[in-house]
Amino acid sequence: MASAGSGDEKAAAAAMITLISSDNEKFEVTEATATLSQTIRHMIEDGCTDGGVPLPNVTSKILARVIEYCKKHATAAAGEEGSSSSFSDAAFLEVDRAFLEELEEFDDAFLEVDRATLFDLILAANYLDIKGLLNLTCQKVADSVKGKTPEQIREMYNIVNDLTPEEEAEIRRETQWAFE
Amino acid sequence: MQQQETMVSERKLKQIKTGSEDRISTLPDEILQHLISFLPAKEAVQTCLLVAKGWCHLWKSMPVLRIIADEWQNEQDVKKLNMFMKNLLLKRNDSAPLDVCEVRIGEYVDYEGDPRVDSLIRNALLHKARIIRVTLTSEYNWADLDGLPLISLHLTRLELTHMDLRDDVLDYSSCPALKNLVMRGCYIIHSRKISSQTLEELTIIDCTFDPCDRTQISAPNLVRLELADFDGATPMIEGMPSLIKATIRLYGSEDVCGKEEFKGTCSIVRCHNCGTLSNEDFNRHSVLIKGLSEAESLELVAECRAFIFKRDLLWCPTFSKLKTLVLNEWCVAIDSRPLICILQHTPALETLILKLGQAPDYWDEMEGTYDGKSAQPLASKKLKVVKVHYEELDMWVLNIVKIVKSHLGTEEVKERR
Repeated sequence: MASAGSGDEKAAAAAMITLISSDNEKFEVTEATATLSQTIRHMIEDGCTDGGVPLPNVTSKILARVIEYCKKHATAAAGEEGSSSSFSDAAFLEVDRAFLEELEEFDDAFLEVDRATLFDLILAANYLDIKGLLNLTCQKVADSVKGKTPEQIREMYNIVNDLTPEEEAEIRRETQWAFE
Repeated sequence: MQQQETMVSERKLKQIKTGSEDRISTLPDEILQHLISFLPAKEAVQTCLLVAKGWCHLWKSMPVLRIIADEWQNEQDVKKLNMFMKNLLLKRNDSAPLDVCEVRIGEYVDYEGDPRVDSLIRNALLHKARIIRVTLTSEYNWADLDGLPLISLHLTRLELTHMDLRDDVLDYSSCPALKNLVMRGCYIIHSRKISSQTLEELTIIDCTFDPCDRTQISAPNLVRLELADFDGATPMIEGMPSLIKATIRLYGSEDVCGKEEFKGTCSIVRCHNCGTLSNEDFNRHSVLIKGLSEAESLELVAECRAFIFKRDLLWCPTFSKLKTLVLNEWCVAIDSRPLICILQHTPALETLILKLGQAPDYWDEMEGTYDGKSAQPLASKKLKVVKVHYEELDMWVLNIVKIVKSHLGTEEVKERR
């Protein structure tokens, strides 16, 4: 069973990966942190990480945030692997619950960013294929449009209304099943 | 701002023309589809159709559908819901695989039929759904799922809450990727057999089985089993060689006997434990325990009058891999023979936890006085932890602790309130 506390240090001794942002800044991260990204995981598996991993689609500002997320969640992933073999040991579940709460608080704080950063994070999460981060950031945008009218959504995100009232009426008529 | 030009869409061109920053529309379609699938399905479709022209097809490829109809629905509303569910799948882009299909339906009037959840599930499977989750939240409504077995190469997880499962829908031989099945509050009365060659986790909570004929559970690759608090006859489980953990809670089942509770005075007319029915064919086999013999961790909890565990001990197998065992008062209610029988058949046991509730009225006060002294230590040599949880430290509990100690040949029994 992997313990949440020491997992990070062990991995650090084993393997470090260098990530290079679009503006040429270098970030040293543990393999456990880096492999939260499926894109990087595949590169490691293919042995293409010597000399660093260039990430031409991600700025240093965004990459720093992404790494912050991955560090936190890499320890969570290690904990999960451990728990699958020890099942419902009550004490273990207690620890899990506290850790999950902490993780949730981290995620909430992590999402306190301006809209431009949020979209950059979405694109980075998509490019690096980090499922948890993509879900987290997309959920945040989805929550912001939930319960809003199309007009409100357009206003909020500067979307141009290219539908004429006639076209809108036609859509409502043709897809009546979606509006009843 | 970084660029990710995976596709130049109509949306993108519009944004360039007007000059105002529309970041959301510049996202690749794939991300937008993912993003809007966090909305309830109906809202997602409406938003796509009415926000801007470039958005209007996005809903057809949403990877996740969350169909939510929480509010009280009359007959008309149910019809509208059916139309929505039908069109949502029918008009969907065929080449976009569905990852998750989730449905949550609140209370509704069923005079003109239940929501057509069955066709939704089958349509979702045609769109290669990997996970399907159907929840009816009202205690008054059950939706039917019946007919032929489900067929899918992609389905890995199926969760059904408050459904009436009939005919062959619990035969999962045509779902070779299915690993996880959860049923809560379902009627399983009209299905004789739950079967899957690939299932690894099975959870059955608060369900109702046929009271007269035992449902068979055949899942030879099961790793985890939870079977808790059901009505009707206890289902019979077939061998599960890969089983690691099982939790069985027998509360509320049909298989109860007054003899177990009141020492020999059963008043139940059709008792399957004592009387003529106990000789019927389906009562002449182990129902649960034999099928659990390969487990590493077992929790066997029951109300005292439930007789299945005790009767199954007639065919008690050796639990050669069992390390952790949790039992409650059923195994010591009247006398401690069931407990001792189990300890004789668990050579690798490391942890034993006894959860004792209220003392039954008819426990054998004399037992500890003679059995204890003559008892031979018989339990596993690997036993490290024995814990007895109790509500009240009365004579009954003290007696049980004494018996356990004498049979374990150890003084190290931890008691905990």
